Amino acid sequence: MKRSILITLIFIGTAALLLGLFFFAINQGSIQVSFAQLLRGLFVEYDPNVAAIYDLRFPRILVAILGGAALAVAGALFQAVLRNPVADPSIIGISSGAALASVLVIGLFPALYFSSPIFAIIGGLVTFGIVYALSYQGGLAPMRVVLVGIAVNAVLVGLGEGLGVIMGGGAGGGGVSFTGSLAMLTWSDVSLLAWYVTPALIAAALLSGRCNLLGLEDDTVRSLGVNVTTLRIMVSFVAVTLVSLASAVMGVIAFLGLIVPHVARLLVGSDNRVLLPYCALGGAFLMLLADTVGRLIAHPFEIHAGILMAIIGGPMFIMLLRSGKKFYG
Amino acid sequence: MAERTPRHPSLRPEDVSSSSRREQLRSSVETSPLLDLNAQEHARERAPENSKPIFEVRDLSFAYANQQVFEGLSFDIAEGKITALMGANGAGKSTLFKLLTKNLKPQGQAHIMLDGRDLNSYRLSELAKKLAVVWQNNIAPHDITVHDLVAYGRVPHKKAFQSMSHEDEAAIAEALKFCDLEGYEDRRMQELSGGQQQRVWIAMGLAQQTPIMFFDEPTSFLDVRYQVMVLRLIRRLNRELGLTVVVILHDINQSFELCDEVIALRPDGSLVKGSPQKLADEDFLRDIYEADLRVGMVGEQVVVHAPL
Repeated sequence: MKRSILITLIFIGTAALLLGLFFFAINQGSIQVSFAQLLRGLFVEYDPNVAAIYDLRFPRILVAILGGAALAVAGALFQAVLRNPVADPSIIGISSGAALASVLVIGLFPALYFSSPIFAIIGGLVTFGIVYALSYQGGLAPMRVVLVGIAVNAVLVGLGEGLGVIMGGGAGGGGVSFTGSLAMLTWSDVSLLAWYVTPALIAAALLSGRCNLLGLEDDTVRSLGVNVTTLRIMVSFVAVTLVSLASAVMGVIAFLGLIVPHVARLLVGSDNRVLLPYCALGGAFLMLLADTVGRLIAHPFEIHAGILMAIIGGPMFIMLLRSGKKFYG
Repeated sequence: MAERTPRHPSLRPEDVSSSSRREQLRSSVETSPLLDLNAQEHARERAPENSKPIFEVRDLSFAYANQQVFEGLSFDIAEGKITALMGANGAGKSTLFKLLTKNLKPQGQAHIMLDGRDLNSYRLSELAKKLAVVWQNNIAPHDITVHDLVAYGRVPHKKAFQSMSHEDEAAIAEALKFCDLEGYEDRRMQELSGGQQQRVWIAMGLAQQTPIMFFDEPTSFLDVRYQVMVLRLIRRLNRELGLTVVVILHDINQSFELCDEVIALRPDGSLVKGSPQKLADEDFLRDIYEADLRVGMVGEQVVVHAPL
């Protein structure tokens, strides 16, 4: 039982890091407040500095936490469903599909802003369906999924950037863009994300035990009385939903859904009942870290979190490709 | 494997150790759901002579896209016996295996009756309580523990989000014990030898507590020491727990040695069925494998030999 204590400690440690980063991130920028002042300003009496922080920094921090958690959990689910160590939802085009649908809807029908996540999910699902169908040849070879996905992603990114030019930079409103930035987010983005992501994360937690079955051969799962195809579709649906929501609000953040599950698997093992909650925590941490570092590293300019993730994630992706390790779920 | 299984069960008198073991098994019936498989009827040292059919197959045909595998097969599989499916590569034994385990659908007017009911009418979850399958190719997460893997055998008995009960844990413990894996519960799959891993997969099937178990080439990829271990374990499943066993074995001698009955597919898709004693001759083997094999005796066991 030593291992379960170790895992508990890893959870507590990561949660503490996240909390520490949260308070650090709150206090970075032109306005700075003490911790006591912050608490007073939030809960006791009005403080103009705290109010500014509350309006400007809290939304992006909370979006980073929710969106990062969603992306990392989705990444772990994709890896389970596709039995593929390199099936990052942003590499195979699902994020782009969702972001494109979201940009289109908000650009053409701004009144539909609050239901834009629904369209993002539809965009993500359609993209996933296309990638899946195009790469299925009696089975899903990991490399074929990635190659087909990269091609699909290229088309979608092209369309998205083209649209961006046609519609003008501000057309997306609410911070929707392809480059994965968390600037200019408001509380309405937070509540939008929270309303949709929370149920999807709960669904992922409920499915986590079943997800473990996907680590076995399909024949074996079937002879345990479980319909593998139905299970795959359910897990895929939750994963696509999570990615699409995150992409609709944050834009495309590459590699986070790849890196976090891999590191998490090294730390807490491959049991999805433990892995998925840890991915949520780790994804929130990494996303917030990328956003905070991006905010500070070249002050007063801001480097988009998506760019930072790409710079860190690219080399890791190559390492994973080169290690060529068999993946089990 | 601690217990030695007799080479010739039919010639072997009851001995003290096995009957005391049987007492032990009987006495644990009340507490152990695993052994509650008509233990009174089946816990005997040899398979019954005339048992009723558990599978009744009528007019079974199957073709892949443009290739007929077999046509109009009819046969029974006896309850409480070990039946081997034999045949040359491509004769269709894997196809037959998949049809019987509902991994393929029969075509045309075929009937496959399992325990008096059309196999098609079984839902997957129902079927998983009726028959367990140990497949040839298995993968598992490398860091999964033996206990957690065997626990998957309880999936058919649970609703999707239900947690493990005492009954489940008892079934897992029984399965581990029967497969000689006590003390391995917390070991990880990657730490185990090939033979041990195979016993874990068998324990997983056993934890399903089904009256029937199917094995798809359970000895491939194992060296001979583990092959014998696995074959003895399969025989004990039949002799001690009364399970009906259907098995594909690549090795002709192992098929003859292990099984009470043989269902052999000819290359033309027709079928021969009988006991190993009746079938083990050179004509039969030429018929099935289209190869000239010699049959000899070592002691009282028929041995097939391929002269080069």
